Amino acid sequence: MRLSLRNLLFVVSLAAALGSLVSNQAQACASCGSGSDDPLILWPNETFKSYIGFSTSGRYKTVDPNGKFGTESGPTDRDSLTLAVAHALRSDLFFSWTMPFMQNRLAGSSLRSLGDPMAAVRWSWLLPEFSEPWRPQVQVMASHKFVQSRSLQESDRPDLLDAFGTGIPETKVGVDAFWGMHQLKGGFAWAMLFPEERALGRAIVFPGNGIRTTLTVGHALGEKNKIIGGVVREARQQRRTDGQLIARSESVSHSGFVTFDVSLLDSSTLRLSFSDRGRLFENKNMIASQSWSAALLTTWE
Amino acid sequence: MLFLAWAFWGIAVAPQGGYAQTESKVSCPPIDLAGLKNLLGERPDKSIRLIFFSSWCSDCPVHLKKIKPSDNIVIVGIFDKRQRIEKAVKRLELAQPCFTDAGVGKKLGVTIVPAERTVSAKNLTDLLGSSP
Repeated sequence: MRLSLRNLLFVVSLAAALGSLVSNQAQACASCGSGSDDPLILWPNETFKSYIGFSTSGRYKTVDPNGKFGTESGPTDRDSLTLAVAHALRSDLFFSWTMPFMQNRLAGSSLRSLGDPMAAVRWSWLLPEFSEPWRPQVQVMASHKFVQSRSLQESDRPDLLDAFGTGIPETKVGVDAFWGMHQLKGGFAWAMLFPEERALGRAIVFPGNGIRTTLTVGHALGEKNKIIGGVVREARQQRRTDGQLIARSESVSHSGFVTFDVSLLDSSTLRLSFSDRGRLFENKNMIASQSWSAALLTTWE
Repeated sequence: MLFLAWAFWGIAVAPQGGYAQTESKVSCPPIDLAGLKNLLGERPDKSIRLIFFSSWCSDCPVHLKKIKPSDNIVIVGIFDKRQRIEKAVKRLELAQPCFTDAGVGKKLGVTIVPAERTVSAKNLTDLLGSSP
């Protein structure tokens, strides 16, 4: 039997669902952080947590320096299976490791590859308190994305089906604040992005430092479920190639996202998300896309 | 700007503001299995219902407010610091005795909050027998 990414997803999801039946109970409102920055957020009672998510994205369009849409010449669709684990070193400090597996599709052809893994650490500076409901949860976050997959510049194929990443390692440092004690919830995350200069193909490329800002609004649905929506803005300085700044290469992108968190069996959370990138507000020098995802978060200890 | 002002108020102002208690009469001392045995010792014919909560748990206030006054219910703060637990109990004006967990929750398999466990003299003996 040919093992496609979808078949693999089914097998792994089934294993995770069965696993969640025997795992310990999880906090019903886990991962109440500011949404899309990291897949896993641990509460003080959680020491080990896993994430398995499947997403499919498409409707790719290039956006030029004037904000006009063009046709993207690469893959038309991408499926991703993302696995992540998080472990708490202390009740206020945890790290996570995220590993994506990807499949690019174009006109009946497809190619699979490992994506770029990411290591992240979060420290809770302030914990929320229901005796002080306006006091937020504030976390300091840092992460590093390693390069595992091929970039557009390193592609060997004219259809770019073998390009799965940016090819640039990047470090992110920031803060994440969330007010989650009321029915109406909200938060923001602000992070600085520090990519590394790297030889890609025949050129040495530096994509420019950036700022990523996330604004989130959410609402509790009953005692255990919630809906969260938000906007992510990512702005980068000019690109540099072989030490030369490229004129009009600074980029801006805005994404909108909606996420439903549904508590399952007290031990797991099912997260359904939709994200649209590049069609809100001003965008330039980026690739617009839409994606849907379903993920299962399970606390094991 | 409004959002940043809200953030600043929440972080820097609110903790010292109207909710802050300058004089707390609530005391939630640590409780371990021996302490639980002492509580049961005064109630040989009864079981005790332990209600576990944390001050950072947004679902807990609703759960705690549903508790009806009873002499066999105690509240235990877990995964948390004593000072925060006492502040939370005072905020909700709970009349039940309160404690800060010192190992009871782990023995009773509490991994989420809110959580409830009922302990009798018999199953406490089993727990004490299995403790190191």
